Amino acid sequence: MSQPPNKPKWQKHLRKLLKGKADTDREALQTALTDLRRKAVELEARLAQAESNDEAQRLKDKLELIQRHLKKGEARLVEWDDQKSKGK
Amino acid sequence: MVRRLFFLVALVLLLGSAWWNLNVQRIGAGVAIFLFGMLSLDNGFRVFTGGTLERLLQRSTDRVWKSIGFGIVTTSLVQSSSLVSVITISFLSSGLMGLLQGIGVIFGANIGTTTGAWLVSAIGLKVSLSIYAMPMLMTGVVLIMQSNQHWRGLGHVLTGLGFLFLGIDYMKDGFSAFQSVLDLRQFAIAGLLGLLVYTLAGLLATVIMQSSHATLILTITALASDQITYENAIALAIGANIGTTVTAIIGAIGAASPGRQLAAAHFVFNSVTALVALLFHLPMIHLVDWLSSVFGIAADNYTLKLSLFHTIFNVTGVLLMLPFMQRLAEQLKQWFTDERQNRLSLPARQADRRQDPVTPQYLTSSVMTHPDVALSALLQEMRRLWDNSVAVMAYALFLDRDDIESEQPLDLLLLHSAVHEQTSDIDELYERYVRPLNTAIVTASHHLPGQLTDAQQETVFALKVACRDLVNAVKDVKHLQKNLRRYHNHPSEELNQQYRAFRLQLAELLHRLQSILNYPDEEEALLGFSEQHQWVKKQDILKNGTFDRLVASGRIPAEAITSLMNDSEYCRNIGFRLIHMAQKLYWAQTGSAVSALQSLILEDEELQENSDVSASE
Repeated sequence: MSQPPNKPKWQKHLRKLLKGKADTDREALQTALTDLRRKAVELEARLAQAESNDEAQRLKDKLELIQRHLKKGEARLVEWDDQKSKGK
Repeated sequence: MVRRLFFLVALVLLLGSAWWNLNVQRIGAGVAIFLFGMLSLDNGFRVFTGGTLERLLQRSTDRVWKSIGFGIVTTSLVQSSSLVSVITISFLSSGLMGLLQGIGVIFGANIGTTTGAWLVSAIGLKVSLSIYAMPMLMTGVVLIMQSNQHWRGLGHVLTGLGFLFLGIDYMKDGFSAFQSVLDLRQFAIAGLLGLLVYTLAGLLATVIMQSSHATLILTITALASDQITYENAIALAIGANIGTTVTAIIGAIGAASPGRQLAAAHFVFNSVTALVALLFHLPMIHLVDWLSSVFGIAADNYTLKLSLFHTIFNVTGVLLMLPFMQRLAEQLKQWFTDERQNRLSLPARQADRRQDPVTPQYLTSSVMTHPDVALSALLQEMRRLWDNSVAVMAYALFLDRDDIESEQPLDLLLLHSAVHEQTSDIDELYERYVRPLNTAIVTASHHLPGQLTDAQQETVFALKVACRDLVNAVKDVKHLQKNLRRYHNHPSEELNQQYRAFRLQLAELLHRLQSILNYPDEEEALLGFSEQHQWVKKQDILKNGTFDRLVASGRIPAEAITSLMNDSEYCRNIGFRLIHMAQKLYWAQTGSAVSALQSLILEDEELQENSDVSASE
């Protein structure tokens, strides 16, 4: 599958400049959540291969923490969207 | 005394020369008006740009070529290399910029100053600048009277330009008329002696006027009036370049190390450039002649040729020094070591006998010019407060800070580290290493310059709260230490073990927080802090049942039960406070004032649920 061409750097900068603070924050939060989801997938894979109960427990605890952070982040996104729609 | 005497003699000589001839008075007044114009322009740009220069500089710190470009463009625009130097020093002092980039800005500023000579020789000498100066002065004064800060700044810029133009005109007219009274060319000295004498004269004139720009303009106007020879004018320009570093060196005496490093870099650069220009002045003059013919500059247009010479020798200097920039920066860092980077170390087995006062090292007056710069310095000082607190807390736990930061298992280290009786009082250490910095940080946070953005205000508030937490954590450790000492040799092995566990818990937490603070991955740091929060909760002996088990078994002496309960509370609170401070410090350092990731930090009750679930499993 062909990759979409990269936009020129100046266009990215311009888009960033034209965006409001709320949009930038939302985008950053979404990126952070994507990263956390990726980490969760990696942890699940490591959990499946855990060699000891202690390690498994540690990974499970960390995974649970990630889920809590994700839950909080997703709730924040919904809250922002609600505020935005009310603002309009 | 000597300084005052010199000032009086100079003033008498100046007035005497003015009385001797009206045209000398005119030239002197021209220089004075020109210098006043530069001051006004400098002041105006500070107010008018309202932090734009600083914001531009912030964006030009990642690459050396950008730093050089910034130096060229801004110095050309504001016509003041000293303004650019001052801002650069404040950036260096606050840690927003590295020395290499700072040197880049100074290199660029040296090229930027050459544009002034071009403007005056190409335009200023051909037309009567006072015609333009008058409307500028009139408009400028009206704007200065406005209450709006930007208008006032613009007013200062306009009056500054007006005075610059007027000053140039006065000098020009003064020299033209003076020619009929006294021909200064009779003092011209040819050859090597002339080169050296006039270089020295240029240097002295710049030191006295505190401006190489003024020396150069004076030289150009004198050259235009045929009062000095072209060769001597070249020597004066070279001397002015060295003279400007003397001003910078005087300004850097007593300054913090970044200021001294930059002043030294300026001196090295200008001296090398001047030396090259002196040694190769003849080939350079030939090059100027050749380039003049290429660009269509008349052979007898010495003012334009002087500007060309000035540009060539500054650009040559930058080209010559560019390959050595990195080495120069490293060398200067060695010569002028940044004592602020030395972290506090308190050997656990000795009493601290240091006497010198502990004062803030980042929060200096030079950084309190712009919110971003001041905020960055505030953060650096907080990092120092954190480092000092870690050292004091490690000491209170009878450990060296190196133990805390080592990769060796802390439980083993604790087994080998005895509880010493002859150590310093933690209260004294707190008063000496923690309290003065906290006071300085809180005071500075109330005097931050300019208008802070909402995000910056939030950051400052959060940092103040975090500072309070850290200070209280150190105080709690102080209370805890009394019982650590009291029970370390107690006949009850369980009590002994429990107090060793408290030491291990706090040492472990300090170790982990120190490493999380250096995590480049923000998501990993977010998880790391949450894990520590949860871990501290789990260590609470009242909650995890250890305390009940110990009391029920009767293995804890009755007189120690309340102490144990209270000290477990101290441990828990110290843990939370340390995590809170470390978190605030981490997010503020990454520049994510109210970043997306910060909004993901789990509150105490959100973690409660999690740890309870884990505990019940």
